[in-house]
Amino acid sequence: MHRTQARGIALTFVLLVIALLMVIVSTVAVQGLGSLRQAKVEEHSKQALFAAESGAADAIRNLVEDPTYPGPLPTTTMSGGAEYSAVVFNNFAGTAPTTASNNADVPAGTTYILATGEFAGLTRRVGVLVSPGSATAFGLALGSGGEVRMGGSKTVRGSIKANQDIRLQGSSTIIPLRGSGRLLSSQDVRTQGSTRVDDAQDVRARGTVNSTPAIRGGLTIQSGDTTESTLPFIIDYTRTTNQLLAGEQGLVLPNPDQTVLFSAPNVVVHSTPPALPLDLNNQIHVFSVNQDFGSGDITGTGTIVVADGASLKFQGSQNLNANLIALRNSSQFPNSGNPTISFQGSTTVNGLIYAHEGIDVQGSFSLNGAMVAFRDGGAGIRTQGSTNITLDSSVFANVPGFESWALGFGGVGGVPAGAGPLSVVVWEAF
Amino acid sequence: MTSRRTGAGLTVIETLIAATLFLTAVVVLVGLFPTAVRATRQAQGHLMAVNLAERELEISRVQDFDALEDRSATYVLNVENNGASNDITFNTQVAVTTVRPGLKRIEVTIDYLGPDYFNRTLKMESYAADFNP
Repeated sequence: MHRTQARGIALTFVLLVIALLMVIVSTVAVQGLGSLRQAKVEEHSKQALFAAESGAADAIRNLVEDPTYPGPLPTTTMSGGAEYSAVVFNNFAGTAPTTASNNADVPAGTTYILATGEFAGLTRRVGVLVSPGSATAFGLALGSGGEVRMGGSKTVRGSIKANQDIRLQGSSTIIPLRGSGRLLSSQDVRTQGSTRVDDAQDVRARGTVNSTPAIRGGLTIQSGDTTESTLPFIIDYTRTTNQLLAGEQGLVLPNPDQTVLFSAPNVVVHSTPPALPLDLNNQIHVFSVNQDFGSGDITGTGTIVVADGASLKFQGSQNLNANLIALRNSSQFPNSGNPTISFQGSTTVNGLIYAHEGIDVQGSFSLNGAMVAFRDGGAGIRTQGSTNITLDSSVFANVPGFESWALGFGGVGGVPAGAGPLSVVVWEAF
Repeated sequence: MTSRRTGAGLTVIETLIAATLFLTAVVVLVGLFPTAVRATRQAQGHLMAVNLAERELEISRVQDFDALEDRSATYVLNVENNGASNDITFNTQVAVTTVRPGLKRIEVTIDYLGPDYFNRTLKMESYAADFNP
C-alpha cells in the first residue's frame, strides 16, 4: 500500500523543481531584457532631446544672422537619423508680451524657440527664450560680495556664487534651473554633510573645494579654478547696470540706480513709523531708519526699501510678496552704515532680497526670487534652518534701478548690449 | 506478488522519465541563464555609455564655440553585478565638424568592451550654435 502511494512522487518532484528553475530563469531573463529595453529607450530619448537642442541651435543661428527670422525651421534629418524642426515666436521688435503655442511667455524684445526632436519613434522638445545683447544678467539664486554660509537642510534651485568662501553645512541639494545650478567661489567651497549637485553642473573654487563627505554629482569639481566663472564679482559703487566695460570679464554684482529708484512714480517715503499692518499696495515704501516687522505687519504686494544705511528685520511668521532692499546712500560708500536684512521665524518671500551689507536668515525660510549681498568682503549671506530657494531673475525687473539684471542668461562673461549677439534667458526641456 | 513486481517496474521507468526530463530541463535552463545575465550586464554597460556620451556633449556645450575641436578620452568605470566587479574601459571620441558657418556638429563615439564581453559602439550627436555674429 505504501509503495503504491509512493509511485509518481519522483516525477512530481522533478516537475516541481523544473517549474521552480523556470521561474528563476524567466525572472532573470525578464529583468535582463527589461533593463536592456530600458537602456535603449534612454538612449533614444536622449538622442531625441539632443536633436531638439540641435533644432534650437539651428534656429538661434538663423536669428543671429537675421533678427527678423520668423521660422519655422523645416524638418531636418541629422546624419545619425534623428530629425528636428522648430517654430519661432519672434517678438524682438514687439512692444507687448506675447504667448508661444505651449503658453510660454514671450516678453517684448525677446524671441521664443520651440524645437522638436525625434528619434526611433520618441519625441522630445526644448523651449528656448533668447534676448539680444548682454549675457550678464543675474542668473544666480544667491550672489555675495562676501561669504555665503548656509546651515541646516537646504535646497537651492539655481547657482550660488561668492567672492569669498561658500560654506554649506547639513544636507544641501543644488538643483539646476534654467541651466544654472553651480557653486562658484573666488576663494574656497567647503561642505560638511550630504551635498548633491546635478551631474551636468560644476563646483569650482579659485582656492580649494573641501568636502566631507565628497560632493555627489557634479560635472567638474575643481579646486584652483582659473576659469571666468570664478572671477570675483565686479563690485563698483558707481556702476548701476550690468554692462561690462571693454576688456572686462565676469559679472557685475547688482547695484541699483538710486536716482531711478527714488524717483519712481509709486514711491512712498515714510518719515514716521507706518500704521500697521502696512499694505504695500504695489508701491515702493522707503524708510530711512531701522524697521522691525512682526507677524502680519506687512500685507499686499510691493517693495520695501530702507535707505541711508538702515536695516530691515522680520520676526515671526511672514508671508511676503515683496522686494526687500537695504541700501547705503550713494554718498556713504564704501563702508559706512550697516544696511542688513534679517529674518527670524518662519518666512516665505516672493521677490528680490538685496542688501548693501549682509543678509541673515534664521528659521524656516523659503524664497522665490534672488538674494544678493553687495559689500565686497562684507558679512555676506548666512542662513540657518530649513531653507528652500528658487531662482527667478525676473524679480530684478520689478524694482526700478535694477532692470538691467533681469534679462539675459546668468552664465559668465558677457558682451556689451547692442553688439549683435544673443543670449539665452530660458532653456527648458520637455 | 504480481502487483508488487509491476509496481517496482513502474517506479524504475518513472525514475528514468523523471531523470531524463530533469536533465533536459536543466541543460536548457542552464543554457538560458547566462544569456539572461548577459542581457542585464549589457544594459548596464549601455546605460554607462549613454551617460558618458551625454557628459561629453554637455562638456562641449559649455565650451567657447571657437574652441570646439576634436578630442578623445578614456574612462575606466566599475560595474558591479551580482557581487562580481568588472572594470569597463570606455574610449570616447568627440568629432566636431562645421555644418555651416556658426553651426557645428558634435558627434560622440564611445567604444567599449561590454561587461558581456562583446565590443560595442555607441554614437550620439548634437549641434552647437555660435551666439555671436
